[in-house]
Amino acid sequence: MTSDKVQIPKIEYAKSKNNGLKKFYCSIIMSTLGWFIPKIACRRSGVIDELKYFPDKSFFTFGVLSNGPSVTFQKVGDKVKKIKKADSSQTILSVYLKSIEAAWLMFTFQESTCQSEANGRLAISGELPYACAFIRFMNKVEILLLPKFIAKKAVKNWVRVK
Amino acid sequence: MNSIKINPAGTIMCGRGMLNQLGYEMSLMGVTNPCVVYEDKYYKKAKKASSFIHFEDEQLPLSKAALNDSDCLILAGSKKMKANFSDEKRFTIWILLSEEELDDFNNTGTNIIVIDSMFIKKSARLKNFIENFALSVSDGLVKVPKKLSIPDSFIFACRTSVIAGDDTLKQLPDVIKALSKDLRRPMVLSKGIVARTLVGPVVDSLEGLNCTVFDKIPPDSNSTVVNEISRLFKQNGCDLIVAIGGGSVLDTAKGVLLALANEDDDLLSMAGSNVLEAFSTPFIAVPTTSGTGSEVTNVAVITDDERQRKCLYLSNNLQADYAILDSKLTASLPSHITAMTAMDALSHSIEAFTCLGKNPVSDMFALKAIELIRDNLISSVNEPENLQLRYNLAIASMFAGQAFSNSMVGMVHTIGHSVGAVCHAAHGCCMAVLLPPALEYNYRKISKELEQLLPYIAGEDVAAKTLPEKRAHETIEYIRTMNKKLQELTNGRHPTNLSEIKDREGESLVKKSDFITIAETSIGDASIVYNPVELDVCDILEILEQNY
Repeated sequence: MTSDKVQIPKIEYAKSKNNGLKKFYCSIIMSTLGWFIPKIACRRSGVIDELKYFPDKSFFTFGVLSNGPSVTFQKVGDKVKKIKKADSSQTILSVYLKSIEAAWLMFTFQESTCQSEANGRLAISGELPYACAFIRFMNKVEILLLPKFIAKKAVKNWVRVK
Repeated sequence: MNSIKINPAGTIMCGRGMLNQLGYEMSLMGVTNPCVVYEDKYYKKAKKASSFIHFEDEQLPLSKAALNDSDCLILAGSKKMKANFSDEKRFTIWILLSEEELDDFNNTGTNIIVIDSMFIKKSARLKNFIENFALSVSDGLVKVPKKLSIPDSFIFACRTSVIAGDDTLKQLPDVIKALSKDLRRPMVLSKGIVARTLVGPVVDSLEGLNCTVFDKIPPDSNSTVVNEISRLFKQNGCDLIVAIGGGSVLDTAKGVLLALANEDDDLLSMAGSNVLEAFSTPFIAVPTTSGTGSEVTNVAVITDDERQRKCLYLSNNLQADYAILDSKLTASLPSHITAMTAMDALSHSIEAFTCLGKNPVSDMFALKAIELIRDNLISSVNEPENLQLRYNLAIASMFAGQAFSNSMVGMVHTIGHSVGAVCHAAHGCCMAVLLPPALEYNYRKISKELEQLLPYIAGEDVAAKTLPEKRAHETIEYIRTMNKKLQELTNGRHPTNLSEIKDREGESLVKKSDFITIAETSIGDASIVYNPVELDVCDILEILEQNY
């Protein structure tokens, strides 16, 4: 005998894992980059040279999805400024890590930026020559920022930055 | 005559952090309302797995039965449960929650398979699962190597159904019906001799359908022609793209997909990697050369006419819905074109096997492609009308395409793209010339992979007779020998160095004076990221000088 009664599936909702500690750590790294890039790294010709093809007054963003920390810069002459809000019409590049876990792997230097892209963890909006320049730029920033034994894990080839 | 039909592999996401990334991938696939369906025995694990899926900041509903209003079912359960949903029309994702589910894999059309290291660790069982996955999505053709290395994480995706064989183009009407019975107005794209000889019979075979034909595609896909086709597409109410031709025709078709999804004419606003959402227009690719693998790849290169720049678009959503490989279509290719396009496919497979994005599934596709090229290229140049050899090369090209679409390519393409762009040299020629020196440049990082390649490229006998420490070098030398052999067979038209890449008048296309421009253009090529060894302008200049 079949029943006419329609079974309504019992539904419950999965509570999203907060990843609080990882988010906090990634926020600190992002803030450090936000300070270190304009104040220290971009004073080196070897670093700022990587952005020579970025148009003057253009913006670029590096961040973590979804709603993770992010930092936006503007290239002004041969300097880079950290800014709060970008003019979207002048944003030439946005590089986002697809999840906080992807950011954790990169920021704990378990995966280099290149390996992260090769593993499909980055979402890049903008022309890819700019993205290549950004990746080289970040490699040099990491070489300057990190002790050599850690930086060697984060880049393909450790070289002294001019 | 062989023939195969391969169903789409879907996507396999394996390793660390894959559940966290699933939400983003779902958004790109146009999912709006997912639900998690679980089995009692996996309730706790299903709940845990769901908590790691961040989908547009919404809490995911969990239920023992599929919810009617959901457009995506995330199956958190056993393979038996997955099999129960094999006829499901909605988007389905299967999350493996226990190692026992790895055994006896049977691919039943799930769109995404997620194997997160939180639940499944690296093991012989996982290796076995990956082997079975690759075999099942290649009609049993791929080559399983003795040593299969599994990285910490990887993603492999192929959404294209493939039909290959002799006279398979005749199946086009059935393929269109299989996509949707509502499709009525295909737009057929082609150019040159294909347009003059092939498009007429194809259009005739599509009786009852209202075809629009566009056959003025330039050698390099550009934004002007893409926007023109997209306007024509909308104007004529077309509902499907059928692209018949080589790389430029297939790239133009992908560009039209982009333009149709874009509100304005500015394709540049969609440039990037992993950011394009799924397209609503179906796309059938019919390649007429065996080399680019574009029929299954996730890449499109379109020149932006306004800014005079080549723009690269990378997205799994650019893969065709169907690829029809008909060996008859390549039978009339001249021998030097057969040689260079096959060397292009060889460079795809070798770079896929040796660059940063390499993964076990793409490795298996790459190895089979290498073996097919080894066994069929020289004979195909000697016997151009042998359809069996053409068929094998078409399969090799398609497998190489699947391999590099997932692993990406490295410095052979980094420099080769720029030589092509600056000097207007044929892509395949650049690949043939640059492959051996690029492998030498990367040698210190890829010697183990090169050693592994020897039996596939030169044969088991040669590998067995070569000392292990010499195998990597022998692999590179074997490619050089192949180039020399092809040069003899094509009366000198196949190049072995850059100065031998010539135009129809016999003038050298690559000039030493172009080297600086080539090197500076190269460092902006996206493939540089995936090369295992860092590369700068000086390194590129040195390679160009040494191989002129």
